Amino acid sequence: MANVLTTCPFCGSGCNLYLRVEGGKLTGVLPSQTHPVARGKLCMRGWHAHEFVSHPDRLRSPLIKRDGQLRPASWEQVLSLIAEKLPRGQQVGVVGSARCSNEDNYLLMKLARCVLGTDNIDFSSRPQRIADLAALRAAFGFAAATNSAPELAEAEVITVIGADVVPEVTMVGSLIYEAVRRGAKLIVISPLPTQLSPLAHVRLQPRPGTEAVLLCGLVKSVVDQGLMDSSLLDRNWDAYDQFVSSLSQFSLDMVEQRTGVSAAQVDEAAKLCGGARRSVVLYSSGVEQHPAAATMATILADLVALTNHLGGASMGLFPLARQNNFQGALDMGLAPGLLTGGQSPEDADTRRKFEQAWGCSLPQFAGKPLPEMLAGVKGLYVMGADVAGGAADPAQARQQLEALDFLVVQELFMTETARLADVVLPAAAYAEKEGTATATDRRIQRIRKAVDVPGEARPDWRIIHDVAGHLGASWRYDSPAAIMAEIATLTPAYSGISYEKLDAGWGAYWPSADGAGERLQLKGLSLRSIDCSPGTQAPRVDAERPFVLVLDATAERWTTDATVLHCDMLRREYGIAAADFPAGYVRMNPNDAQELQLRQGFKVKLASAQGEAQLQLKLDPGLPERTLAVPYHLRERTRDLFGGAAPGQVEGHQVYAPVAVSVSAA
Amino acid sequence: MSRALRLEKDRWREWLAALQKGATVVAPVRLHGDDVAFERIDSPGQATLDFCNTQDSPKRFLFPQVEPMLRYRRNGGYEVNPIYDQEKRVLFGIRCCDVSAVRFMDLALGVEDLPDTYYSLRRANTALIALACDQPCGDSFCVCADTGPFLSSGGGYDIQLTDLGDHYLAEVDTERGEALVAAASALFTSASDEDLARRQELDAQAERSFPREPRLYFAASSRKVSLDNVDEDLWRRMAHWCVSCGGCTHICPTCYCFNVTDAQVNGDGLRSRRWDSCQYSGLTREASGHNPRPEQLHRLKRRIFHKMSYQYVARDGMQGCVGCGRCIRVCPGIRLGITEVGEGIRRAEWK
Repeated sequence: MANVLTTCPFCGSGCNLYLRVEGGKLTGVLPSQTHPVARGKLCMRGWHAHEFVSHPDRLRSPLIKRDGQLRPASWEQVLSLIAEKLPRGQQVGVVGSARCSNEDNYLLMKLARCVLGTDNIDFSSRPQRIADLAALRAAFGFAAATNSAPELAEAEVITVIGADVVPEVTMVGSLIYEAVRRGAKLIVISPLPTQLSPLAHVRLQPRPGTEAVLLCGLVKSVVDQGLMDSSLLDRNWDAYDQFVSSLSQFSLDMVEQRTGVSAAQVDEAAKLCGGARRSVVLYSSGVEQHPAAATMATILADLVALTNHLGGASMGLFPLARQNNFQGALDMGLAPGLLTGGQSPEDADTRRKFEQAWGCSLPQFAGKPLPEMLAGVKGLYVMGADVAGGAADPAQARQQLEALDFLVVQELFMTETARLADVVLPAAAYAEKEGTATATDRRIQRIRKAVDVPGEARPDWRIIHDVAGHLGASWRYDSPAAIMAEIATLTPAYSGISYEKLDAGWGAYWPSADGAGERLQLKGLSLRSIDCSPGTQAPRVDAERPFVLVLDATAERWTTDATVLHCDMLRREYGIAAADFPAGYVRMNPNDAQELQLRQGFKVKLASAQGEAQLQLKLDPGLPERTLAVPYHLRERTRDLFGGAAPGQVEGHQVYAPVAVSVSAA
Repeated sequence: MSRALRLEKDRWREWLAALQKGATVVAPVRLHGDDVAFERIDSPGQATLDFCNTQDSPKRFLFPQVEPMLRYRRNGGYEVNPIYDQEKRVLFGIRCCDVSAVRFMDLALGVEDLPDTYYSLRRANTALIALACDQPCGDSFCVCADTGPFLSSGGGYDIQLTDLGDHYLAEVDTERGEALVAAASALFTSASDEDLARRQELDAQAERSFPREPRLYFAASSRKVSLDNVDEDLWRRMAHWCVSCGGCTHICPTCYCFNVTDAQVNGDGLRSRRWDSCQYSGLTREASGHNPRPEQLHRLKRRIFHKMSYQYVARDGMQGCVGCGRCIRVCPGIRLGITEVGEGIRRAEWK
């Protein structure tokens, strides 16, 4: 039996584990005891990370659609067909994946910009985060966690906003448990119950849609209580004056009226969060997919800046990445107008650097983020992403994919998107290839090959290399290590990163040059004025529609993941809610159910001003009365209720605002 | 039976080489960083005896995480071919807690009236060479479970090694152990009386040096668990720290729940069993949708019940916890290692 060390393929925690190999097959996993994040632990997904790799449903051969049927073909046939049919320039879009390695994504990005001549490049899970990432980039100059994850264990105060950290990014949740065990104070801010809620020392439950107002109140309270850092103010008086005047428009009484959270509670949270030296703020989907995501992320950046919780140990701001290489895909420049490591093609020197290194001209037009891209292109190249299943509006995305002239999908399994493809290319799973992934805290780590690919599958980077060859490029990469060498040359943040360096320890943080990547130091930070007036998306409830319905972006996200669903044990566990509630479910407080004389499992009709939906009732005593929650993966079934996904504050960001509904027995 | 021999320290790898001629040797191997785990070794140089305890027990060599059971084919009827693993193995350098865990598995899975064939066949071909612990390791509390730091004759090992500085004392306890010595008899000489005295001394010294924490007061916690005398609210508050990973049961050297699944390709099927966990909701969910253990608190209660209730001691003849302490380290919720839960139960408090 061999033990092959690798990085877990599921969430952004970046746990390392050993894959057990026997007779060329994966037979299990073992967590790494000394890895700084795993610490000998794994979540349920990690303990079954070997299962999907050897699933009989894995794609084993290239497929070409003929007469509406996907049929096996040779690699030569598919590559030639792609070269012939795939459009170029603005006509083509390219979609990468937070599940593929940095090397896979980098090469895909180069294929798009250098060979296909398009800036239409994105990755499937980025659109959900367009707004908060843009706000962080504006505030900090980069969009990533400020500190390393293991530091969390030593924090004095941890504030979790709009995140159910434990199921979403489990080992980050574990570090929070560790901190609380050591005496840290925990603040949980979310309208919905989370796994950490029962452990919270302060728990703020704003009315759905009023979260941004509450965060404004928190900052206001920090200022009113004089909890801002005076040394910081010496440097930023002008910014501070402007900032304070942006807060002057409202009071904590108003916050209380709108959010339902008392001024005393807001003050208590502010005192804890602002008063402690080692204070960390984390957020996830409850912020990212909120209609006011941009405002909320700006407020949080302001909050940590104002209290000077930046640059030191066990402090800072943590946007959480739910997928194992979300950060890496972003770092590899899989976004319109963004090159590797956050570099901009609009900067003339950067542009020249890439053009010289690559021997081509970068596209002259600005690309579109995925949702807009789908509406505008004729051909699409997708790597490791279920574009239809993962879209904010799956029905719309499906239609757009069907309307394409040519769709190429590189995948492990026959996903909904792959079924719509003209060409399907079988890819290698994480356990079948070399590479790197960048965790939610910017830790770059190795992915290592443990077993051979099934059938004719190939590693993603190899496929892209061959596609580029058929399109006339003459690339010469003999290994992912060679690709990383190029990434390191062109990307200041990844400068000095090599497989030797990563193999020597437990990976490395970016920026890597000075070895101080664990804690990002910000230069020239200034507070940004915040506008809290549009911050409330709380729907107006009345006697006719007395409930507020939320599309819960945090819960059960793993139930739709193709890799998770191809692990027998995970399929069973994540399938329980679907088995218990075959018609889909909406969560309700038991007191409300009693009043309406409804019981668990009953079918109910929900009606909003825009439409209706029928679901089964699931009782949840943690939910506030008069609040209902539908899990995000049921968004298609509740689409009419919300009137579909609405455009958010930032281009390409699609959101579901809470709506007022009535409930009756169906 | 018990026979005491002496093995020079610089020659234990020669013994391994001799053992490899007759069996697959599974030994502790240093992995990345300070990780040490059991692995099939190709050459004696891979093995290490310089470790506190291995990250996981050698359970998976007797009860694998994924175990192919049979192949079947539809051809009018069914053609069924069981897959039995009968490879001869030596588990080398396993700690006393893990030897005791194998003894527990023998009692639970090897029972005469309904033996688990897959386990029993593997076990019949597996020899255990133990390495006694001359100091406590991290989170272990084997002294509370009477499973270490040293084992006495009849403790389940074929041979027990004790590090005596420049040489090892090898206590041979079984016929199988004698055969393992015979594989390289030239390496062994008789142990002296001083060796035996030194062994007793080290045993006593190790036992004395166990720290105050973690401890498990089995009698007190067992009594409460056996009588179901634990407040439901206490279970609930403890369960707030559970992330339902199942790690405590996967890493536990005495947990043996499994699930059976089929994978079929074109009528050819492979039936396998894989580790399941009482911490997973799906283990007990019935086809009707009813789940007798609907919440995590019920599942936590179940795990602790199986480890501590006297019902199982009476049935199996042994407590289900061997005090290795691995569930303490594996817990992402930090607090649900059996010692902290046991202490919570004993004191009826959980802060």
